[in-house]
Amino acid sequence: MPLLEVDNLQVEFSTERGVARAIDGVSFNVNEGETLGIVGESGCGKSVTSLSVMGLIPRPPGRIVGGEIRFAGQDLTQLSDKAYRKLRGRDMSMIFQEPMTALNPVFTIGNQISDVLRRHKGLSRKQARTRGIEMLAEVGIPAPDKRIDEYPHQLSGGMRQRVMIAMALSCDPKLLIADEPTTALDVTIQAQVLELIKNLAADHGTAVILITHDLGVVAETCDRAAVMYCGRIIEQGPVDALFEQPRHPYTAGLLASVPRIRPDRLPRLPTIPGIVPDLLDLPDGCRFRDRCGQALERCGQFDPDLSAEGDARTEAACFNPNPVTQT
Amino acid sequence: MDTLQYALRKLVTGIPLVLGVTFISFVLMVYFGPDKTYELIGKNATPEQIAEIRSQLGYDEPFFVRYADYLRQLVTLEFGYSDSTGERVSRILTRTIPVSLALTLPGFVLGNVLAVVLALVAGFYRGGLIDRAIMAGAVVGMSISFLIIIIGFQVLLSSSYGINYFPVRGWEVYSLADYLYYVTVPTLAIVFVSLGYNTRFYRAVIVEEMNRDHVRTARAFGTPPIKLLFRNVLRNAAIPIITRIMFSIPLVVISGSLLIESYFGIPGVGKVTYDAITTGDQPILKAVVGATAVLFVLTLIATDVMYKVIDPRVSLK
Repeated sequence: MPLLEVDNLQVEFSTERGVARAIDGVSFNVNEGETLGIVGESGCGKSVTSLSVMGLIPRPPGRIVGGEIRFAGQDLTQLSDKAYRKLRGRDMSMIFQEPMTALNPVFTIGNQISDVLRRHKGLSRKQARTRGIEMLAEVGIPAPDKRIDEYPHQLSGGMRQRVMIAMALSCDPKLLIADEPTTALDVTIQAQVLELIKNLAADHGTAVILITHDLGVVAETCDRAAVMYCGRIIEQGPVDALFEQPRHPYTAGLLASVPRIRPDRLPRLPTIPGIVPDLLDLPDGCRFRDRCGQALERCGQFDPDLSAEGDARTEAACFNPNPVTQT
Repeated sequence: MDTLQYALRKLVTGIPLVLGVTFISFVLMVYFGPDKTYELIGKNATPEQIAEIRSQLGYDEPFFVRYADYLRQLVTLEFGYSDSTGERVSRILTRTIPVSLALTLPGFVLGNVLAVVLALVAGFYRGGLIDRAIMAGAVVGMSISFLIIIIGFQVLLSSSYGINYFPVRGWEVYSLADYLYYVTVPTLAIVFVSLGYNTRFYRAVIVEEMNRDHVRTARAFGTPPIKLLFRNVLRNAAIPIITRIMFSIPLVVISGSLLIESYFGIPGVGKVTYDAITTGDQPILKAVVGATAVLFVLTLIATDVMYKVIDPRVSLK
């Protein structure tokens, strides 16, 4: 049984212009110890998906209107606030994009880590401090017994993200959700932090959902990946298959538009034409149709579901996917 | 230790500030202030008589000598005698300031504490029914004039149209029971008037804090709601809240009690000030204006020191 099963999740937000369905029928699984990447542009619903799993959708204006989120067999959408709080930080935890502001500025980092440990593990003040120092050492913070008494503003962005990782893994959670954990960091630090998440998650036996818009990050760290577009998953599968033989035209477009060093300099970087449709005014049929170069007539009538066909190693939601070529 | 040093250094930097504000109040209230010469002198005075009176009053001294004299009065708290009653100004103040404090303090504290609690509740349930109800109440409270509120409470609590239990006016306090008897209606009026403004202000501060990333982090680590409100929201909202509270202290002590005191016939410093303004009683005005200026500067320094205690990011430099 997978650790996390998201089944046909639907999330809506009330806006001034009407109800926007930010997530429309998203399904995916995360197995124990596995790393799943969720990729997509800003606003495609990847963060909303992760917040739904954590039960952190701001209500109002947001609400889960359909589907199930089963974590270790338990449906989280039916969970009481109190039971959910016990889960958060202990069985599932989350790292956020902004290390500069994610920690409480008026308490020392030791105080904040201890708070989590004492709440979830029932440790004494002293035990929590000792464990906190161990965790800081584990994430590679030098002189952790001194650093633990410092305030967040005394640490650099990379260090703060390490503190967040230490805090997130301090209770040995089964699932870690990392929402763009390296986007706000310097490139040199990015690689270190990613490596750290990857290694520590493996050590602690923690499954990871890595939310990112950076395909390079996915390629380096994830086992499987799901590509989201406009509130739906349009393709998912093992990372190598997804990168080598993208079947959905959107995935292929994304991969083509990554800046990289090419043998011949391109006159211009390829882009996907058009813009993402408005969630309040979705077209009929496939949401990518207006931007797609290979749309068929029925793409305008029906919205395709994820399906795997033939030799394909990925599931794509497309009526006219790119053919599978033998390599 | 660091904090003590910081406080002392702030006190030293406060000295030029005190000189500045007292200088301005001297120029406006004393140098160009009421001239008593013609009140003291009879009709048809000769220029010699006028000059003599002016010399007695010290009006013929050079500008800076008069300013130094004013500073000396402030430092020694010796402002002479009231023109209208002949009582020593320092005695008038020691008699009336405690009355004003006793009168306004309960309302001031309650008005702020209740407002913070309501703001926390409203902020926590923001957008919901509870939030909207509290905010609607705040707007109603803000929209009603202070006078109407005073009269309304007097009618409800102190007249035969209402429960007719509390006094309409007066202040004869010899015991705790007396105190509660006289202070209740003014306190209710003060709370009612300040609650709306305070709640709106504090709610804005708290809602802003609720949207911060560290609050989301705390939620993501299972922090229970009450702890979240205190550790994350209130602790971080403390700076704007304390700023507002501290800077309303001088106003509440001196001018805020003015209306309440004259309406309830309570002999506090507000009433004394009001009478001094209408009669041009310069010794009292000098004392009150000087004391207000000094109180403001002291509040400023105290507020800076409190920032330092609350927020580790405030540097000691």
